[in-house]
Amino acid sequence: MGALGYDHAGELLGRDSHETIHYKRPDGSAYPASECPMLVPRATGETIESDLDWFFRRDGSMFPVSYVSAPLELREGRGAVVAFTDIEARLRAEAVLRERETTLKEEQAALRRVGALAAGGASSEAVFAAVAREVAQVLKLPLVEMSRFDPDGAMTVIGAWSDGPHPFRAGSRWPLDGPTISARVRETGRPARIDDFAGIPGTIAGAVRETGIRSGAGAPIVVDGEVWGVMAAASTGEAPLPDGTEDRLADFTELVATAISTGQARDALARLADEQAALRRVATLVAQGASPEELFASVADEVSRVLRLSLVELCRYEADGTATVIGASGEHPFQPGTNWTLDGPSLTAVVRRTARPARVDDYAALPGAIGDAARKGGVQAGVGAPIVVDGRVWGVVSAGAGAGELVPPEAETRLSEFTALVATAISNTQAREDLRLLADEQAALRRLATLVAEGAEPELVFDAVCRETGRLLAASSVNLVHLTPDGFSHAVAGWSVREVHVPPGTRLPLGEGTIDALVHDTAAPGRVDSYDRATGELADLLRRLGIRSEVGAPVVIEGHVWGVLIAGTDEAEPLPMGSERRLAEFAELIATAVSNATARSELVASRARIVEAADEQRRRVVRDLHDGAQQRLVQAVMTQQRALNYDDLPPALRSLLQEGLMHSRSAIAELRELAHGIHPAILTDHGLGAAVEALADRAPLPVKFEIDDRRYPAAVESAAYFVVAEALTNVAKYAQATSARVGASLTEGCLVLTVEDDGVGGATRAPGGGVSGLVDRLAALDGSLALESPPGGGTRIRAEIPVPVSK
Amino acid sequence: MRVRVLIVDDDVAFRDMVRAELAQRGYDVVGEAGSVADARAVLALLHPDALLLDVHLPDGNGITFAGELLSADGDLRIVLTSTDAAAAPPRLIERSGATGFVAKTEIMVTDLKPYLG
Repeated sequence: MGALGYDHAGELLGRDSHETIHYKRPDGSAYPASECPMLVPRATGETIESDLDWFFRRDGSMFPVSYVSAPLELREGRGAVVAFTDIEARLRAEAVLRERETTLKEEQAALRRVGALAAGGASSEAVFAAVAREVAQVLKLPLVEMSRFDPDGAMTVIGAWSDGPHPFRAGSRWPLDGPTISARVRETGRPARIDDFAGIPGTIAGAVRETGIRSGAGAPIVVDGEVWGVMAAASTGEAPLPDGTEDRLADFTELVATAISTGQARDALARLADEQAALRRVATLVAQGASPEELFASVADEVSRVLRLSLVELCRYEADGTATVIGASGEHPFQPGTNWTLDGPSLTAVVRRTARPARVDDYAALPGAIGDAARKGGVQAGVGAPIVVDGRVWGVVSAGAGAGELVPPEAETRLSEFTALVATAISNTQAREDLRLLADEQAALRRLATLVAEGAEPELVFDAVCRETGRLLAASSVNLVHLTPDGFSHAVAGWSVREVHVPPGTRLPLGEGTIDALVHDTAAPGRVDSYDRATGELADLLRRLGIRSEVGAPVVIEGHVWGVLIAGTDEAEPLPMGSERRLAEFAELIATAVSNATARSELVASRARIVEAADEQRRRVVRDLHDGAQQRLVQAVMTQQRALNYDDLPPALRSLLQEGLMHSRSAIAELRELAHGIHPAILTDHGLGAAVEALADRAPLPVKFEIDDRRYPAAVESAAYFVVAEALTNVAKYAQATSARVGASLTEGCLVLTVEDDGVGGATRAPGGGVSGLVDRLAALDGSLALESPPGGGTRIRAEIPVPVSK
Repeated sequence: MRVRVLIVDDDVAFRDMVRAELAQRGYDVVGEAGSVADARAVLALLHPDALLLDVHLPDGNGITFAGELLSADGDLRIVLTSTDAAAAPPRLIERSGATGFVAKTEIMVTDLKPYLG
């Protein structure tokens, strides 16, 4: 009764239920009784239930009910009894629940959307802003912002959304100088809330109040265990944010944290992959042995790309304390080829001094030429890493940030990866270059050593050395000079590309200041870097030829400076350091060649002298025999013959005399043979032809001969005669030949001797036999002997004896 | 007419021996010389018909000298001699124009008429 708004039952009894409480539809339209389900039981006897219907109170307001209408058998007939319940409360509760469910669904949907955004990589301002909007809308918050905590104690807004103006623009930086939500979140790593910003000190609090924000809540964004940033919500309303807002925010910050982590990870990975690819590209260039220019330019580009800094250059440090740019990327004054003095604390200077990476955070005030140029080029900040080759600081790679660029953290480390590659390349190139030079040098030395070993004429060796040396040292001219005992420099050989060497044969006094004099005095390799001040004819000649600087090494023979090997250049730049040392190796070869040649000719002369002395001695013996003993014997014979001419000799006496004569004649004959064997007089008196003729006459087989009818030097005739004599003896003894032939002729300065027979062949050179003795005698004269004696094919001996031209 | 002979040899003992022998055989030994130079001088003075000429002279070769003399005067008869029987190759002797060669050891037992005349 109360539900319906009636005071007592009396007001209701007797009235038509439908007409009283159920006469309208909820929308106000009429509800005819015939359609009212409550009355059905009266008609049909069914029981009717209704989950929801509307009754009207006495005051005309309606309320939701659920009822049961059951038939009631009355005396008067059937009636209906209606039992109802006011379900308004229940409906309201159901509505709240439903609302909550919807909110939850929306939140989950928002979470899913944010999750999707996060999965897509929540790393850009737009995405963060989208996340902020989702959170704001689903949590029905007027302002949501997300910030990153910076190392310097401030925070940077990375994304925000609000339905009204607010100061938290993306990119704005806020110091955490007061007990604001962000500060507390950062400190505690836990969600926080401020219900009233009034009286809170600090920059953020001030700005917040200005905007009309009264309360706020925030949750930490924890990435990889660290409080990376904060997601905060604010409200301008009277009432503070609902309880639990910070926790609901935390649901979202978890996703964002994951996204950031993933994004960071992905970024880092992408950066790493990028860097690895860049390093690989550079390493490939290094391995392929690309030219230095190519390599340096490529490194500059890759560094620029990887570090996202547009002003990159590579420099090489010079011996004079400056730096030369060898590669660059970007528009700035530090282009390849430019040279810079290292004044001021520029990156280039600091790296050189410390041999470690360095960075300049602000070029605004950097003094020095490099600082000025950097500012002009728009460099704000920069980082550099040294290129260390073989333990010394060879150069530097610098990357500068232009307007709007930031030098990334760990840039020094990442730059160092590139400088390591460059150092390897330079080292490789240098090593390769050094190796190539060394190989060239060794090859040249080998070629020359072979010449020397083969006993080539000294002139040939000299010319070859000058040529090889000139090429190897890239000199304009090379000269070999002999330093004479009387203080002259005598050019013995020379070579040049442009006819700037001293012509061989030039003989000039040693002059002060020339390399000739220097090496003569010091007996050591040396250099003269400028002939401007040298005096004397030699210096004048050098200046006239255009030679500006020279390097020389001594040719030392038996402890004294025989001569100097000199390499000179007509260019402004003197020959590089180390040239004199390399020259010294070639000078040694020359010393060897000269020594060899001298030794050899001395040896030959010595042997020839020995042979001649022996021959001379033999001739003397023969002469003495002839003039002495032989003549006496002849006299004895003639005397005895005269005696025998007497008529009346007693027979005993005659026979004695005859005996005496016989002995005398024998003696003469023997002496003659002896003398002939030692050295035939006929050879001395009439030459090879006559002597061979005599040999032929005495031979037991026919010997034909064709001998040049000329005289040769005694040693040559001797040697030739004895070859023929020995050969013919062997023919007679072993060959079983029917005939033999002897020939001798002068061919190209050589006496060529041949002895042939048509016998059984098979002759060999037995050691210690007559032939080997001949070979020795021939060798002493630089001659040779060849023996051809195929079994059954006869024997042929060929001797060649050089006939020296008398000087 | 006796054949006038000049003996050219640097061995005095031999010259003595030969002179006696030649004289005994009816030759007129007009002079002696011990060298080519001396021989030239004597030749110019004495104009002998024949020479007994040693191949080995201190200042020259007898065969060469013979050739020289004979090309100047083809009537001269020159006999070459030597201590060494094999001192002169036959061909050279022929070419020189000398009438022959007789070793010193054979002079005493050889008829010299075919050579000296």
